[in-house]
Amino acid sequence: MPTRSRTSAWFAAARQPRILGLLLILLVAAGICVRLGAWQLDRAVERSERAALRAAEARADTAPVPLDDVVRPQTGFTQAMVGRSVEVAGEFVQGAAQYLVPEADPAGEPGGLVLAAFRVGEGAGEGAILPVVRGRLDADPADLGALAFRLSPGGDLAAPPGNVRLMGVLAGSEAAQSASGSDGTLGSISPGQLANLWGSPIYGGYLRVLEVQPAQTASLDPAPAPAVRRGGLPLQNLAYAVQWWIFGGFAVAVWLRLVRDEGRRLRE
Amino acid sequence: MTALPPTRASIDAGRARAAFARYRVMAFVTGGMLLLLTLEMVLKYVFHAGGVDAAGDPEPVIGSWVAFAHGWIYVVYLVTVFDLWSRMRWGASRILVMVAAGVVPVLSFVIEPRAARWVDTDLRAAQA
Repeated sequence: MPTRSRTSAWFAAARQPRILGLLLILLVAAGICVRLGAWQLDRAVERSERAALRAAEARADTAPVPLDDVVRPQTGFTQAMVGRSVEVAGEFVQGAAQYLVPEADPAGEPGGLVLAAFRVGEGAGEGAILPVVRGRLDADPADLGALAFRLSPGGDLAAPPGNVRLMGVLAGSEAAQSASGSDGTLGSISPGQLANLWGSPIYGGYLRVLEVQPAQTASLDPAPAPAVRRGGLPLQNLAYAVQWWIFGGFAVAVWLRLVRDEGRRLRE
Repeated sequence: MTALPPTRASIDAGRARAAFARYRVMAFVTGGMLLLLTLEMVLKYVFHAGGVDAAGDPEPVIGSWVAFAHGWIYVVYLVTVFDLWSRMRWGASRILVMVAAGVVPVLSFVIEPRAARWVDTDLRAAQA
């Protein structure tokens, strides 16, 4: 047998029908492993979302309780408070600006949440500011500047004056974003940031209003359910996904080694 | 052509024996862990020995760490299998059997003595 170079022997070995057949089998095996890894990840995400959703639903289904029973102003807002159904009496602060928080609806329709300052008028939180999402407005983000006028006092979307009773679900603070509120919009709902705009004491979470008594006339859709922040990915599923990828790589390594041995055999 | 591939001569016997020793340890550990995992699966899914959670999914009995541990031990086992297999320059069928031995209950205890014979036979042939 003539002496062949390492590379050409490798390719000659790799082209053998038996080796190609093995490659096919091992690639299918590797593909299945990679797919199984992805499936494990999907399952991990799905599982943690389902668990968080179930917990929030269970809390929202209960009859509203006084706000005082759930959270007090200037105290930490915990994940267990998210989705709690509460009611509270007080009035919208007429001197405080309303803001629009851009948020597309689940169908991708642009729009924003109307955020207002609500002064609690009863119980332990009397006098404190509760950030309140009055509802959702379908609007093009490009027109948000013009909407600031409608949201200001005297505009058709101004917060109603006088005492009202709100019913809704609590939602947690979002990370403050850089948007300053100077153009009438805010990038997120962060009570820490709102305290600078509206003053304190302020609650650590906010209320998404489902019902106002007496009824509002403004043309706002009810705010959608607060986004459920999902818990961390179950580590176990993540580890399984990694394992499947390792197995996939293993199949490829086995093939490369087989070709190498075969090539060495051909050379000798 | 001889019956045995000529590359056998290039097997490093000392390293191959060391690789076999590592494989052997992992074969026992993986086999034992797999038996524990099988027991857990039967108790959990067949007998629902741990009860079910609110969503109706069976709860673990011995603990969910068993499957987790087996997964990673199996990864280490595969590393030792690959090491031994490539040092011995065996063919595809032998690695398939050894890979399967880590996931089919009891099979690792059957394959381990067989692999010992493979190693002995091939190393003797290489020295001859």
